[in-house]
Amino acid sequence: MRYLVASISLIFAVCTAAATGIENPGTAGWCDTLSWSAVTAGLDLSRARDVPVPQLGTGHTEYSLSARSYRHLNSLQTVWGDACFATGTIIDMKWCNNLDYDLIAPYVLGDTKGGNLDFRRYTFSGGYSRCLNDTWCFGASMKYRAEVGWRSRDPRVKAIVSDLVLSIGVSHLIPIGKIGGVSASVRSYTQNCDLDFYNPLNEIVTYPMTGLSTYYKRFVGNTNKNSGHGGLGAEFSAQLLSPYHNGVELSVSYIQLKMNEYLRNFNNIVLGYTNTGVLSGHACWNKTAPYMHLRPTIDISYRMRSGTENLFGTAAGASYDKIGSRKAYSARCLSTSLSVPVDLQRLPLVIIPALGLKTDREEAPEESRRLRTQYIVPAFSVVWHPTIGSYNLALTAGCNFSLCSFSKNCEISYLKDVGDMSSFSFNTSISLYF
Amino acid sequence: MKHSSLIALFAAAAIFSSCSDHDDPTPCCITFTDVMPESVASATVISGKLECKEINTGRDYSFTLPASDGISLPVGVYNIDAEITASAGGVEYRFKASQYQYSVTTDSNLALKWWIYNPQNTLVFADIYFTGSLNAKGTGGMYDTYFTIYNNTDEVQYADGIAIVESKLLNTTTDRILTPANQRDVNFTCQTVYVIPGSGKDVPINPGEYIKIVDQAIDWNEQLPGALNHTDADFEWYDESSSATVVDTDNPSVPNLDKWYSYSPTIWIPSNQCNRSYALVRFPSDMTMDRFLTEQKGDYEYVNAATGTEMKGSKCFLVKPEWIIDGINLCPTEKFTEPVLPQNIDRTYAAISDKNADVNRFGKKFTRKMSGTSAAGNAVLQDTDSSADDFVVVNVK
Repeated sequence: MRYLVASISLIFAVCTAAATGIENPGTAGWCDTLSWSAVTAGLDLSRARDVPVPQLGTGHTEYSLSARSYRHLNSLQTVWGDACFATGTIIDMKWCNNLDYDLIAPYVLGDTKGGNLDFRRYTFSGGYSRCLNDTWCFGASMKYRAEVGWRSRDPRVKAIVSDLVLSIGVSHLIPIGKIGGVSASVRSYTQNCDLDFYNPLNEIVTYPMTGLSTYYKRFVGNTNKNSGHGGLGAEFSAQLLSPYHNGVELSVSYIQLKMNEYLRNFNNIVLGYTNTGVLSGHACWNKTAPYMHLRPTIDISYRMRSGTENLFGTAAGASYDKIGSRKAYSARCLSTSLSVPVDLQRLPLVIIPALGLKTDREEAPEESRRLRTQYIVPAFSVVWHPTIGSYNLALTAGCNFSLCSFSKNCEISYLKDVGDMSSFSFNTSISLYF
Repeated sequence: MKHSSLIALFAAAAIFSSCSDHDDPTPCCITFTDVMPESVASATVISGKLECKEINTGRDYSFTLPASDGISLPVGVYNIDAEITASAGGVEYRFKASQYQYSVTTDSNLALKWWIYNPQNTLVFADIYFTGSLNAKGTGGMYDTYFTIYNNTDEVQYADGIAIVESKLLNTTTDRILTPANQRDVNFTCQTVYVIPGSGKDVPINPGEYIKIVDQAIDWNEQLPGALNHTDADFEWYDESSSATVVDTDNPSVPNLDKWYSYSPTIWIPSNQCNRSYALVRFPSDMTMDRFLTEQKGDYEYVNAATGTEMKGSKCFLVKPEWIIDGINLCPTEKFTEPVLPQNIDRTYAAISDKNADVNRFGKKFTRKMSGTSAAGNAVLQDTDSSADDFVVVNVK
């Protein structure tokens, strides 16, 4: 039991919420032999002086409270669930008034002022897994996120996100002692962003941003204050896991997502859309040594995104007919990370040194604009998990330092002409398992 | 079996990803047909330039003229401005042509209607203040409205006989006009005609000076602190109202404009939403009020955009484009559909605001930009027949 907590934090992550972001509910029944519940309170913050992506802000502060449970109903059936509430502030966002910039970029609604954005996030997930026999299991899960972001001074923002992921999966205990699994998910995403100015000193101009500090010229002005995003995606993944978490474990996944940006003030026209494909791989090696358990892990992710802007004909009243489109944006992002969790079973302590590398390349070919950004992110986390009576406690503290350099071939209004930027992040949490 | 399942799943993913549309625009070839004014119909193009701005992307494309093989443009909607030098009968002329919101989706031929361009106009609108000062309740505008007419030359110009006319048609309308005489490039359909009184040389305007014409020549400060004082006006327009409750104020010390016609049975209030067009008109010397009202009737038929039914428009008169010496289209940006004035008078429009009926428009006026100083040292106001370029919006005080 004493060893359980650290194992849960690792094992459960591998089985149901791997670093690839893909969940396979079909493998959930293999995650643990025990049933458990946990409550967690967390703090996550980051700060930076200059950032290469000001749309994400110069940092954030987030407080969270979550409860989750994993239960074997009997030898064949497993259920699990997770509820999380988070609140906080994204600091000094610029040229973007939307949430989830990483997901919907570059088509966002921006203005020259920006500022802090407060948010609240409610996340619920849960699933059910059933084994047909000793070797075949299947499962289904659902995850829903509702998030609201707002700003209480001009420009006043109210952004509301609704994000639903439905997954099904199947797993099979193959003769070599591994669990093979495949899963598929569909994702439905919507976001509405309303912008208002209560006390303008002058005429306020908003910009439908199109990437690399360019914007859609026709709809710049003070009438375009409501934007919407709608996305539909699919995820496919395959896993090769170990039931007792020894040896090598692998997973690969592919995500495809199409995201439209709508202009609510212009008859809900689709101003542009992005097609995003993400190919990810995850590999780890479990090694038990005297008094310790090692788990070197590699994650690789390659994201391709293309942006298409629609062209509209002569406006007839409030009607805008699409007459064409043009591919005006592309982005490629390769990120890799290596972490080596070491479970020092006698202390009881888990230390997790990690190193992340990321290369991001954005292009607007017709405008001959290019931006290449590189990140190196060393990180270190510690988990202390003492046993208190019949409970297990887990205290987690982690930090990372991100060093960024970039090169560009054009003037990008929101990016200063300095070559290096850095940011610091810290997170801590306390969990009680019972 | 497992491998085949995996392959099937990833094949499905590939199909999903390939369903997105990829309709990249391909360039279209645009050829031109030159439509010259009748008096110089045989003019031969010597040189010129053509500038196209795609309004979705804001991208500019420039070409030199003549372009006998046409030009190549990507799919889009273009505002086109062209200027040429052409010779006719041994005389060189400057011509301009423009096309607003020309949609390019396939190869096409565009008829460019050229007009003779004379950048040195005589009398022009300098200031137009039709919104009025915000009233005490903050709900609407006062009637302290006015406009000024500026002498843009180095010679004395005479303003008597000049008519100030307001368009019947809105720059926001999507109605389709059926009557040929009321088409926008045939005649200017107006609903008010006020004329500066005089016999021809009674109202001189010296070079670099202007006259001020107001609705009511009173000190509006007495009604609302901060409003304008119009007791120094040169003229006011005065209406005998048929209503006992809606009456005009007449300052006997300020001469009134001659009222040839107004659609309103009470008083004329220029559009404070700034969505109509206005023009300065110099009628032929033999034109009289009676003759104008008899010969230039402008009743018309149109298709109502909302209902699709044919309807009749009345209480309006026709002004020939060649009578107009200056004009301006006004319209909030989000409501603009088509300019009312012929394009040789004003091929764009000036916007008091982006938003229709924006409360922030009150207290603001259109002011013509200054383009330079004449040889005699007088300010020369910009008049390129493009009010979007020629005017700026500023606070009236």
